[in-house]
Amino acid sequence: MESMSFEKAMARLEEIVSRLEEGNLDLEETLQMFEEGIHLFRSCESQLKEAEGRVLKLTRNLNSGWELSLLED
Amino acid sequence: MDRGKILSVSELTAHIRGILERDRLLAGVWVKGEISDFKHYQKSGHLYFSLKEGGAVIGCVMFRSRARELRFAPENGMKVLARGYISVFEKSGRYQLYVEELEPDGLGALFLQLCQLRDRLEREGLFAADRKRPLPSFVRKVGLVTSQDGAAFRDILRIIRQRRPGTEVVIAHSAVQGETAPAEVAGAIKALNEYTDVDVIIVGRGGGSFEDLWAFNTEEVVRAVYNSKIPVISAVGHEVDYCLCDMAADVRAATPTQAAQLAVPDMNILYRDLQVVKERLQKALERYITRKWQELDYLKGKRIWSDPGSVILDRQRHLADLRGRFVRACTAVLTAKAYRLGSAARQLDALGPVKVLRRGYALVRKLEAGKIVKNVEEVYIGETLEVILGQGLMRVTVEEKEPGEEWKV
Repeated sequence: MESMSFEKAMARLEEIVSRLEEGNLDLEETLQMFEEGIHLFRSCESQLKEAEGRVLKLTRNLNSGWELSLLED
Repeated sequence: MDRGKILSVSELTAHIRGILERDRLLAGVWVKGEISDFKHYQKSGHLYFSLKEGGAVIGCVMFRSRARELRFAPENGMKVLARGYISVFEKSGRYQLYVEELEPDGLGALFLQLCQLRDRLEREGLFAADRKRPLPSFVRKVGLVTSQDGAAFRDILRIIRQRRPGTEVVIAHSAVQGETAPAEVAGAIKALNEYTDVDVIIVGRGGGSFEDLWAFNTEEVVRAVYNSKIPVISAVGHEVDYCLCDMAADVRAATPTQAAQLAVPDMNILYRDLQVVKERLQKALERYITRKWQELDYLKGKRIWSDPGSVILDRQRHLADLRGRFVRACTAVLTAKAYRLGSAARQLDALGPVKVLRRGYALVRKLEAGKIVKNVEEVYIGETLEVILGQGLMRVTVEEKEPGEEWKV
């Protein structure tokens, strides 16, 4: 679940909310869905907040392959 | 003389027109010549002129919808390249060139080459609208194909940092003008596809002359954009600069700044959306629980749940009620019986001696055993007897006796 992309998590979250809003699930399902929803919400939130923000540089190396390195500002 | 089939003028004209319009060359042709008899009809917006060259001339019309896109003002004597199709204007019976594109011939071979390349790639489907992919809405990593030293790079970085500081950026530096630019740009796009997991690629550079932007009009770059598995945003030059790279990309941005805005969503907006979804989630659960409570309350309304004692109380009340009714019923019966007993007692009373005594009679009893004296023979002179009156009693002594018959009424 942690590795779920933001978009997928968001889409699933929307789905869960719609199903909950319809309100014809039983209690157990409702609580399960709510729990999953909160989990997804946290996952999305942390994805938004994660602040790596690195700038990498992709350069051709001597063996005519490519390599990534950190770009210093 | 056999006249064969006789055609009307319009039938003939339509026939000629059909021949011209079916011809593949005439359906899309580039013509080089010099403008003469130029007329711009203000009302309709259409342009009418002739193209002359080497003693030949062809009438041209350029409709307003096409003329609007002109980036220069045509005038008499100007050498131009015109692209269009040949058809017949039936009212004058003249064939003419319906111009769709017009460029000054000054740029010469380069421009013609570009247009031809564009037409060829277009026919091949490289610019087809139906292969444009939507940009991912949440981008973690952005690939950049531009010059590391250019203004475009700095602009893009600045915007990305504003909108979502956490976005990772991978720059595949490449020359954006000069001999090696096309190969470097194409190679960088390919490398980003092969060696990184960026979500979107921005290919571009800042503004410059037509020649400066040339790399982005080369087949090599266009094919690299077309072949990219990662969605590509093309951002070459300014708003007015269009290039083939733009046409092959999934999205064309007017400027590098706009490309960054398109690629990276504004975190604040995403965050707001997320909060809205969360609120809906919580409300949905609250509503659900509230509703279940209501359903429960409804059942609770059947008092046994809210107040189990009440049921016992009910039973007790019922019991008390029954007992009351029982008691009342019994009392009624007993009272009736008591009444009858009372009347019997009264009858008894009336028949008994008490009433008689009250009327003044007396009852005489022997002291021993309380035997009632009915005959004078039962007593002796000097015997003490008890006399019961209507009120009270007394002891008397017999002084004298006089025997007699039983009283007869």
